[in-house]
Amino acid sequence: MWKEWPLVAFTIAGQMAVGFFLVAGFPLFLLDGSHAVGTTREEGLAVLAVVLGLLVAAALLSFFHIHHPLRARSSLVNIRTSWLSREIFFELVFIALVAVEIVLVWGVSAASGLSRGVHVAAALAGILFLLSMIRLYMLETLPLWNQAYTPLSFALTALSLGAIAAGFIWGGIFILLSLAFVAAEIVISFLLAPGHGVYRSRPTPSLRPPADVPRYLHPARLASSLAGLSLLGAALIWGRGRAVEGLNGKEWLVAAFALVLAGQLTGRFLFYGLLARPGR
Amino acid sequence: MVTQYGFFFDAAACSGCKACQMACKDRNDLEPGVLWRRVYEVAGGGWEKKGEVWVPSVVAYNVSMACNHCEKPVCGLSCPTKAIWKREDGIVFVDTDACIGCRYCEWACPYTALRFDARTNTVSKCDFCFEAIDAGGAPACVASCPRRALDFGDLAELRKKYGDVRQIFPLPDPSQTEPALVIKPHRDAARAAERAAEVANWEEV
Repeated sequence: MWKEWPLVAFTIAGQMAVGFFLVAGFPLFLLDGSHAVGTTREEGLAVLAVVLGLLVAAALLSFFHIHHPLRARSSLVNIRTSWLSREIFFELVFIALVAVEIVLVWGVSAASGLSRGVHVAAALAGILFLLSMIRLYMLETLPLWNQAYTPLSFALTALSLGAIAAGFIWGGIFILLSLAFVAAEIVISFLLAPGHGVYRSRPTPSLRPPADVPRYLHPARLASSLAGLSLLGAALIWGRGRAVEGLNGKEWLVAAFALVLAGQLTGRFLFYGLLARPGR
Repeated sequence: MVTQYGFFFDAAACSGCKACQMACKDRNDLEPGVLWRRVYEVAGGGWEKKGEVWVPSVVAYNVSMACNHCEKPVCGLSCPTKAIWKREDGIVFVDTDACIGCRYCEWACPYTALRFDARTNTVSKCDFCFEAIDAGGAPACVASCPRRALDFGDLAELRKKYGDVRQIFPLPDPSQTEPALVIKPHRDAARAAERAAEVANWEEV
């Protein structure tokens, strides 16, 4: 199970990048509407830089998962049928469009029609990247993963981490959003756990070996996310609506982010650990 | 010309001696831990009370399983590099020079046919002993079975000869991949699920 750490890191970083990009695009619609990302040019650049950094880190981490990284360029050749090819393709498109948006926001005008067009295209690529990541695990031959838990947990990972990150900058509604997303993630983890096999139930008949996952992982994941949820509540109260203005709120937010992230990492290890690989 | 090679497995005849497994390892010089053909020991049941009498309700049989060279090979469909491909005669191959070792196919295959080979850092699997087949011979597993529980040939011919059963417990739903496989079930197979049977030798497969 622990051997799957590159996949855990890749999926969490990639999903957080998508979530942050999508959630941070809210000001375009909710606030003054003058910038594609953020409410000022500096905020926009900061968000885009973090998203790009996360995506590049995810891409680099994914190399630790494959055993012939020098052949990785050929992983795009089966886009017609392979969701893994599609995932890689859409990640590369997403990276390219975010990089182009950074250039546009930096050098031209964040409010230009071109940068907005690029932003919408990048958001679409990000969504397709996330969808490919979800579909990749939802094969008919993988009943343990081919169920509601997979899309819900992947999407909520993206949205909750993205909303907390946005909460650092804008506070208020974003902390409220992150509260809702983290709460939803806890509820679905709790409710869908039996079907997802965390109690050692696995789809039968099966030629797959039984998983050997530590029993403490599921409660540890829930406890960490619940603690994070409590701190988000504290951040909302102490930050008085705009966390960036209240140091106390921001500190709560950092701790909440760390706990929610720890919960997500634990949950993801559990996700991969439940489907044991045969042989060595 | 053969358009789809397939295997026949007689679960009623298999004694679980694992000669097929060993012959496969020997022919293909497989490392310890890498098994292209495996023999699963299925066991379940116990005692049940019928009236005033306790009677055994044990189910026990073996399933010899390799790559089934599926008509819908999900391993190849999911491979990002097209390293898994199907020959005209239906045999599914892994091109180890193209495989990046992502091991996604390992997850995709419900028969767990794909096995990671640490020597090449790629996945590997049964190639139907294609060199022997092309020379008019038989796969090593088929040739080695002392009870003739395995056979091979054109899938259409196998179906004519042995019927069209493709699934016994604990094999997956064949509609997922359309395996080129025909099975003669063991008499216990129909009761295996209700008697909570399980594979009893996970450490060997």
